[in-house]
Amino acid sequence: MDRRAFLQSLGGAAAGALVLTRAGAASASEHHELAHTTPHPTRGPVPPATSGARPTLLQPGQPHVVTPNGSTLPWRIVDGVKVGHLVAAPVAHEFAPGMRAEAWGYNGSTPGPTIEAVEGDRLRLYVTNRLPEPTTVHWHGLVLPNGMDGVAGLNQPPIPPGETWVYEFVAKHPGTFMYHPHYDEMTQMALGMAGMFIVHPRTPRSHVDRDFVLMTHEWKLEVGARRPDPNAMNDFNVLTFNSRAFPGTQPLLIGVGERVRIRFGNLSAMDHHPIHLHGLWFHETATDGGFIPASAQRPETTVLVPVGSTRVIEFVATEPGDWAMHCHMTHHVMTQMGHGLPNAVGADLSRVDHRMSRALPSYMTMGTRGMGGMGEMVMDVPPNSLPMRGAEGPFSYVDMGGMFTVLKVREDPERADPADWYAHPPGSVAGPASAEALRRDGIGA
Amino acid sequence: MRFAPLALLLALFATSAVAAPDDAAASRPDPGDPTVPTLPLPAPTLALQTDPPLPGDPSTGWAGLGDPASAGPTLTLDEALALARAHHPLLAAAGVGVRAATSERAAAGRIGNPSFETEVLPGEGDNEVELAARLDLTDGVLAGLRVRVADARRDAEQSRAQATTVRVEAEVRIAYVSLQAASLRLAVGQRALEIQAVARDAAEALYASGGLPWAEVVPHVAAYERLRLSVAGLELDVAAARERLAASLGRFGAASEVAPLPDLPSDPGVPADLEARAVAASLELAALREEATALGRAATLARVSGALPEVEVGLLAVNDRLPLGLAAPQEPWRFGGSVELTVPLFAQGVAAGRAASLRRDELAWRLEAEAVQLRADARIAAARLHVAHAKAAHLRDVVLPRQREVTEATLRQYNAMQLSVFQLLQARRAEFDAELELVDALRDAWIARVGLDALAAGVRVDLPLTQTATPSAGATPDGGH
Repeated sequence: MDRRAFLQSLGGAAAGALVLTRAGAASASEHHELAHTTPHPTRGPVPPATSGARPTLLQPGQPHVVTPNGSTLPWRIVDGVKVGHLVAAPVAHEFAPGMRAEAWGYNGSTPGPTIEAVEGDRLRLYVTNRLPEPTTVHWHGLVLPNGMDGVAGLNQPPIPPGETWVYEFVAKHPGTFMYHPHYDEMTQMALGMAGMFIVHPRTPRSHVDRDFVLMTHEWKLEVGARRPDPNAMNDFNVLTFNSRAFPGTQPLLIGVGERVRIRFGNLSAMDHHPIHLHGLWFHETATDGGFIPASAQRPETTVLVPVGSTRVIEFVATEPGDWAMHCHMTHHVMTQMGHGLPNAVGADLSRVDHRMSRALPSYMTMGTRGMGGMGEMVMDVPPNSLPMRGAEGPFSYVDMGGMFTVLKVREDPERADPADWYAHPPGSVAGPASAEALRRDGIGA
Repeated sequence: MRFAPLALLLALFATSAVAAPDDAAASRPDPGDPTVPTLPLPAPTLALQTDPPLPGDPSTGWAGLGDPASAGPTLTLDEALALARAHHPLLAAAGVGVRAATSERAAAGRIGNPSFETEVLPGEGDNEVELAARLDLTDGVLAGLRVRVADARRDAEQSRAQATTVRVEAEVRIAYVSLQAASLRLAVGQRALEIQAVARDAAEALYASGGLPWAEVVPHVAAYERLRLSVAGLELDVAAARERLAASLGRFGAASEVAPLPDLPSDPGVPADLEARAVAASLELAALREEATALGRAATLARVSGALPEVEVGLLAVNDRLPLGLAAPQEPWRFGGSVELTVPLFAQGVAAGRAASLRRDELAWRLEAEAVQLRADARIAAARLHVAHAKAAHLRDVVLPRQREVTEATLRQYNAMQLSVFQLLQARRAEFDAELELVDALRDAWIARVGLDALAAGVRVDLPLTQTATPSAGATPDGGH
């Protein structure tokens, strides 16, 4: 019996309910010792969206940045210096309900808290190393004194485990930057040590209503394992926004007509990510090298975020709805898919099924009629894994996972329930063609 | 006619000298007679037929264990032992041997017959007749010694007969366990073949749909064909084991199934005093001791018979004028006696006695060597049973459950689309390999038990060498990598 046929025999509603139950069973909360500003998911297969309330303003036209599924580093002002504290340590991380990992991060999370500063700020950043090996912090993209650049061996000795070192510099230039270790980079970044670093211009270049940051990343987590594999070079199987895989990603809730900025960073090991937004077009306004002159900006619907780079886009959404936003590399939206399997599409395995019913009764044939239903299959899979999983959507199962999230565009975002799906006006959803319509338009079916 | 009673007596002796063999043996079919019918030879192997049936196929073929063509009624071990006791030619031979030894003892106790002599010297009208009867008195004196020698030899024969009984029963038990194990191995092999058939079918289906190149299909086909050969070998093992069981029962041309191979007892049950028990109960040592006793007594007999003068006494009747016919003698009979004495001046039996003594001493040394070897064999048998039991228990309680876990975990990885169906089937085949190892270990443990029991009953048994044939023939490529 094909998995799809088996599912049909169970009944779609029942299977969907089972998936929902399974996905909701796992804990979805994370604890960040020093985190603030961003709420955490509390219910449902898809965690609640970021609040529709307008974020507090840093200055006119510049709200504080919001890090979905993440947090922002708090400052203490000491003699006019903004003082922050990063603690590098192992963290228990959840990619999505049902899949946890022993990762490394900062201040209890991966990515670490977003550092948000203003052009000209003097920053003093303490770094405590609670990792089992030395580390450093490299302030990726910032122009600062050479001794503060964080490359172990070149600019400083590595920070030994158990010690707290301090970096101090002035954020001279505005931009969208990142931070990450520059000691045993392969291991430490593969295990999740990365974060976004935003320096706002003293005077905003453009006014926006909302400002989001999304760090893209890729991981190798063997199905059923708990420790991301730093040795992986090619076959990454967990692709994330802010270290979360759909359905663990928080949707972004915005308003119709609002000007929105999204800052993307990429500290993946090997892959660039073409991030595609549905239902709107945007301009790429900046990179980690600086702002792009308006004359050089092109309208786009997909922005390629290269490894080790940031890209900033701005747009005004005009169409309300639930819009997909995802990496357009199709394997980057397939959570924990195996890539070494024989191609079974189109194969007649009925003879195999007959024999296997005796030899291994719990076996089920898969993939002979495509793989669209894989995520919905109620099958015994290794614990702590989400192979081929997506999530239940308002109409049916969303079979994408991984680097996927939803941009929820609402007429009145401040009063919208972030957990609700979009209510489509009557007649605005695609459906089966009627016989009358087929005849009218001369479509033979 | 005066000699008619003597002729009758001679005729009786002649008849008893060519007595017929045991009537019981005459009632069984003679395996040496080529015209005696038996079962047809086994059919060609099922595994190598053009389209071999697989387990569970409803039409024909391997519905159960073993080769259905020669399957018969189920025989319990107790029934098998009873059959062997009733039919095994070696047991019958052992019984005959004991009876022969008993007869030899009786013969040894008999005193030599008297001799009669008649001399007739014809004359004119009368005959001169002399009648003499003689009896060897020394033979009567030596009869007691001969009986003692025969007693010891009969005891040795009895010990050997008991040993034969123990050995035959042990061989029945070994053959029974071997058939049990062979049948189980075949059943496991058949299931492994079906798994390989699945791999072949899956590869061919994926090739037919364009999902696999032929280069990744043909290893699965080749592996299936290789496995057919392995399973054919397992079929042969069953057929051979069945024939060996029949032969151990002293039968031929009869086929039967056996009960399933039982699980192990929780404890191997090796007696702490096995070595002492084996020595005390050893029928082989007992037979040697009794042979040595016989040789010692034979030495005494040789010395006594050599030193003792041979004394022969006789009666004599003489008549010088005995007319022909039935007429009365012309003179009365004269009677007298005789004594004959052989003086042992030259042949005193010393050499023969010494030879027998030396043979006894030789046997004593051999007996000591046998005892040393027996003690070593007892320790080896105990160790063998301990190890075989522990190995089987480890396979049953640890290895096989872990191997089943491997299959379950592989199935979950397959469900998660991380591993291919070929890797899943490979895990299942590995599970079957572990099952085969367990069957081998169970068989070895039970056979070791037989060897130990036989030792405790007084006999060392040659145990068959252990065999570890695994039908695993999975293709290396999994079709996906």
